[in-house]
Amino acid sequence: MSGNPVMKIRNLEVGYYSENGFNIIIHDLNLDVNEGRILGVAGESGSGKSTLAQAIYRSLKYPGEIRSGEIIFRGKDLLKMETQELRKMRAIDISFVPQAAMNALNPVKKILYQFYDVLIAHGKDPEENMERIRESVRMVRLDESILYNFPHELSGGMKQRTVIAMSLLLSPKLVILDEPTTGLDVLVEHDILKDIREIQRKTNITMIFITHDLSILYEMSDDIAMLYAGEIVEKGSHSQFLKNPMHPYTYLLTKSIPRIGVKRENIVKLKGNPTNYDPSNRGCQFITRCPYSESFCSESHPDLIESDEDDHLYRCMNFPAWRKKATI
Amino acid sequence: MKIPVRYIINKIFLFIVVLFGAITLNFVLPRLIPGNPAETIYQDVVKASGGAVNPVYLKQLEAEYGLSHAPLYVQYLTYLSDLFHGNLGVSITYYPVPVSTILAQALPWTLFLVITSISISFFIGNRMGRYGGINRNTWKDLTVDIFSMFMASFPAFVMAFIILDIFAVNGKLFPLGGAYSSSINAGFTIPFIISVIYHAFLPVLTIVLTSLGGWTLGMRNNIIPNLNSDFINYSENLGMKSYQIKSIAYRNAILPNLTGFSMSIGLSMSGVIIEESIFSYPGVGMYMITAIDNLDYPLMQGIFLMVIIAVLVGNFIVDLLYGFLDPRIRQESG
Repeated sequence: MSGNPVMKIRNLEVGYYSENGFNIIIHDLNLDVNEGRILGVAGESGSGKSTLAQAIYRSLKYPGEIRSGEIIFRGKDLLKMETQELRKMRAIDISFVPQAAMNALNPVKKILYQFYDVLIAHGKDPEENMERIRESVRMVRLDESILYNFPHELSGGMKQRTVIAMSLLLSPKLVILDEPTTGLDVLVEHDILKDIREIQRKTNITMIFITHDLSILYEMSDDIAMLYAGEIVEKGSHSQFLKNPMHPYTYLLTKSIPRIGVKRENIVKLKGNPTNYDPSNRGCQFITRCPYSESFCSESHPDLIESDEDDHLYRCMNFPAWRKKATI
Repeated sequence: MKIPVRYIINKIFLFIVVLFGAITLNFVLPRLIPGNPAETIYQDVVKASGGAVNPVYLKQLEAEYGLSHAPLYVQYLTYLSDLFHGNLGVSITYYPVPVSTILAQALPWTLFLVITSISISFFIGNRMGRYGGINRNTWKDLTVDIFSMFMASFPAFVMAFIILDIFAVNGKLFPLGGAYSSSINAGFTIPFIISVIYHAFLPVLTIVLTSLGGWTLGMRNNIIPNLNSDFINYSENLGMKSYQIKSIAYRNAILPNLTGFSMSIGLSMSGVIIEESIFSYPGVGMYMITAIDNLDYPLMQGIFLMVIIAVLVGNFIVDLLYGFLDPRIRQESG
């Protein structure tokens, strides 16, 4: 079950400078990304999903800063890499599909020449690689004629597909998708996600899929990492999450998804608002919202504990006791 | 590339409508001034001679300057038909030389001066702005900023005097005035061209220096948001080289400056008036000052018309250019 990790993130600490000093957004994060699988990273707004994506890709800009940690990708620490070396890796070894694909394309250039730019940037002859461009456009189920269009002539969904095709053009080993379907209607969203899933199955690319939408998360992911207040609260496979959640947060979120056959009164509402990582809190970060918390929860900070299940980690000191209290 | 026919037709139509409006304004405005030039001159002559003037002289003056008391619409039609025949009236100062002859002589020099200097300053200014914007918040950017703000707010005529004083009066490196050396025959010969460049150097330098700042600041302010845009971030994410990223940002940032380019051609036409008279450059501006001094209404009107047409043609050309550079514009109107 446990795969071969393509990327290992160790003790990652990321934050933003503000008027009140440095605010930690991601605290001491450890994560393995297994090869050939889709790792879904989920969390509420402000939990640090996008910050994590940008930190992994090293595209985080001031006032954001990576304080410490290691991101080992193919034996090398991405955080220690020179910018030139990093640039050459991008789109070839590791690629990124941005959140705002609506504006990700250069408005004054035809799509084809934007594909050319990517090839030129990596020292490849555009004319010779024409077939490759066509192939990647077909792969996202777009007509080849869009290559001769300007971005404003395409619909939102087509632009999103174009961006995916561009990010996958040079067949990277790892792709980070940061909420790639933001701003699209559900039908288009569903189609695109299905295609991403299919491409992944066919090419066996490793993907990190970032989302706040739980139904998408469960639809897309092989493995799941749940973020709360800048920490991973639970990590495991898709089925482990559904069958045997070990952190109250995951459990409550899963129960909050409306389903056919479940009465509205029985759908759980998670009370309170998401918080950022609070360094002054000695105890569990989730304590303010946890309905099952005990007095010892506020006394020390829980570590990520390995369960007896394979590759299933959780950050709760009250497990499995809380499960007995969970009635729904 | 497909030629956006409808876009071009739209622009030509707009050009004709605006030109017609401008011509009409040029007709109406002088007629809103109380009295007429003949009367003004007549009053001056009467005052100077102590009243001993034959009133017929006023009629003569009016006839000479083509002034009539016919109904306004008749005057307007006459004006339009004269205009289409290239008849802009007769200059009072240079009587009996027709205004069109004076303009034909002066206009090429002004156009040469304006187009050369605006093109140079547009090119250098945009490059400087790009340099400042790309190196934002460094001493390089600060230097560019301070220099361009200083230059942009420096009065052009003061600059003209300073440059004339340093390089021509004291330095004796460049001539004090004229468009070419009087000892050389006009024509497309190498000594003539060299002489023209030599004479135009100081006026061009003045205009370039004083108009540079606007382009620089404009470019810098356009390129900074472009450098933070989603498509630049994505280009970086795809591992594009730094020159590729800069050129993407530059191409997107230059669009607003191009609109400014067309407007500045027109504005400079009126702006060079003072510079031309300081450098005694035989362009439209020098004649303009003379016309104002001598209440030469036909000449003034002719020059105004030229300035208007220059602005319109400049706008028209850039509209067309814009259509080619920005595909979004091309489609919205086409």
